[in-house]
Amino acid sequence: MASSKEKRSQRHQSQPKQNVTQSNPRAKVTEQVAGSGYRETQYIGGKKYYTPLSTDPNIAISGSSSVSTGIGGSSSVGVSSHGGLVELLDDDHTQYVLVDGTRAFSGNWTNEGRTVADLGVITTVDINGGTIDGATIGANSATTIVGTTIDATTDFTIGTLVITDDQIQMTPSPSDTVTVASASNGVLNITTVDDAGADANITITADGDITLDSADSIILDTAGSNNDVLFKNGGTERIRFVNDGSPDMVVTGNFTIDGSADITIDSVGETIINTNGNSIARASVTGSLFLHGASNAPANYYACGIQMKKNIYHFSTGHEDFKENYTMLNMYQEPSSFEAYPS
Amino acid sequence: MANINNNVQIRQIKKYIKIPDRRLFSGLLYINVINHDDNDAHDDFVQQVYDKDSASSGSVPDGIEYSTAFADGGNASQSFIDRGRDGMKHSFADYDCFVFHVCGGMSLSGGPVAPSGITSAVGGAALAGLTPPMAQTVDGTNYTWIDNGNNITGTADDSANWYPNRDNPYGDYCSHFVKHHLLSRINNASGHIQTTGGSRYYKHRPQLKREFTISDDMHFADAASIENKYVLSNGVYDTKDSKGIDLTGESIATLGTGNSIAEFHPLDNTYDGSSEDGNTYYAPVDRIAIYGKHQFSPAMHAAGSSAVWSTSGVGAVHVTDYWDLVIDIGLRGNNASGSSSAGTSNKAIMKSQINVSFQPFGETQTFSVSDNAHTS
Repeated sequence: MASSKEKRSQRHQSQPKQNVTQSNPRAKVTEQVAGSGYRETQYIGGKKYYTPLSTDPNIAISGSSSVSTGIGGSSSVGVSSHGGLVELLDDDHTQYVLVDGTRAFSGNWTNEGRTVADLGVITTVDINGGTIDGATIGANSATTIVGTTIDATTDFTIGTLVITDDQIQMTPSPSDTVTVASASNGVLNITTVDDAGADANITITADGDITLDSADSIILDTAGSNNDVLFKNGGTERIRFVNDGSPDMVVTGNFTIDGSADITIDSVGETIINTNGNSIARASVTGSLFLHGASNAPANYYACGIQMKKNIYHFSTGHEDFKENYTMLNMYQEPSSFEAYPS
Repeated sequence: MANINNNVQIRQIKKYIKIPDRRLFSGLLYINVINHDDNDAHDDFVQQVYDKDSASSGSVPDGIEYSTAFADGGNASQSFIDRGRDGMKHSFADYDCFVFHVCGGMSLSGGPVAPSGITSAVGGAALAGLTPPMAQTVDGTNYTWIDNGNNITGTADDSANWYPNRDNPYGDYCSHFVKHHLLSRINNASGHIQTTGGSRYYKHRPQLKREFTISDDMHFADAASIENKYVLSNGVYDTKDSKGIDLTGESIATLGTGNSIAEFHPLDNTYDGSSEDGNTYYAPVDRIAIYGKHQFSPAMHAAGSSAVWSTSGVGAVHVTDYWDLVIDIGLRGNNASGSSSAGTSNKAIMKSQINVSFQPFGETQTFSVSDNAHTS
């Protein structure tokens, strides 16, 4: 018995909806034909082209055929051979990357486990992982390399600058080098070499303090004919240590030794205080104090505890004017004219 | 006293010690003077002049021979005497050493004293009005001094008080109060005996020491008795050790057997005036004076036999903040005339070395020593 109109309508509504999208030109869709199987449908030029896929309605078909439709303006049947495809230059399949490079990937892409034998020239790249092996970076056109860790097995070279394991070396002029090197125990060595002379100076200019904070000694080791160690203030020399076999400290300006505790001058030999090159006080090894250039006692004589060589104004002590003053003035004179000794 | 030669033949050596005003000090003053001729070992001076005077060659300079040390009261040269020390090289014994206690200071507060009863002239016009005039006008307004032509107008002379008097009318209340007391004088020249008409050696002047004493210890003392002592020398010359054993050639000059020199007498302390001892060497010091001195020199302008004086005119000097302690050592001098005429000295009679040590204790340790009076 024939079904009523309402029942037919209900049956139609209950059937599975077909995956058909007619509004998508050239898109291929697979349709199930009730009781007949499956077919592939494609709209080209406003026309619908069918390609049978299965005659068994119970066998579902997914994907698409390997047949492309011809683009001849008229309807055609499916093409099972890729060589039979025509009008490929129409670029109807935008899901494909074009070999001319005019279409970029539309999504992330991975080539894991594969090898690209030659990527050619990459003008823009953003490498966010993995490794780069066996490549020369910037061989023809150098630019910036930024990284958190850049490892080199041999060296980094910038002009004459060569950074190698534990060492930075610069060669600013032929055979003249500046080397910053480290060694075991964290030793840091800064070495300059003037191949032709001894002008490989080191200058440290700080827009702030320079601190030498040593856990052990600070050693200034000079050599050569100019052994001086200088301290300057604003370019003006203040203290010069003549660091040769007879060390000397030359001070420009008033000089004060201000000790917060005792100050001891302890010499194995004599201790001498000069003014303008003249001996003012000399403590001898035997414990005598020789003042104002007084000489040692002659052989077989003994110097007193204090020996003084002075003209006229020998000694004075006192509390203040009008109080407790004692002075020793000694004078010497010969008459300026005298008779000749009888002879 | 006819044989005493009172001509002062002294070669002064002065040391000026600048000291602030009114600072009392008291201290020792040592003065050592010794015959010295570049440290060569001559015979002593007395023996040397005898040897050279009696030798066939060589001579004694006239300046020495006619000096007061060797000439008589009429400046006649006397015969030198042989002291028997030829070749002994005893020139070292010609020394004279003094120790003084020096005390005092100087007061410069009083200042000059203007004369009373003399009217001063102030300004060029007044000076021109004096009789005789001391100034003259050049244009009716400005005046100059007659004696030197220097300007009066516009200078300190213009406002100064000028007192007319031939001699300096100013007094000065500034005064030194320096006294010294000879503690000791030691030389080897106290044994010479003055004789007449023969060999002699005149010791010109002893050093005075003075004591002011009374006869008892009392609160209401009488005026002091003044005792002057004219000291030729002090000092004991030991010829024995502390056990009374005679010192030998290890200590004193002696003459070996066969070398007896009759005139030789070793130094001794037994001189009683009846016989000569060996203190017949030469003391190179005549006398020492010690006093204070400051600059006080009023300005003066003269016209004919008249003069005017001022303490504030140009060139007037009166220092009131410092003075000089003068240590005035009078060395025996020569007779510059070189003859029997009396003459002053222009040389010391011998080259000597003088060492002075002054050790003041008191109210200042501010001193400046010079061979000339300080002017600043």
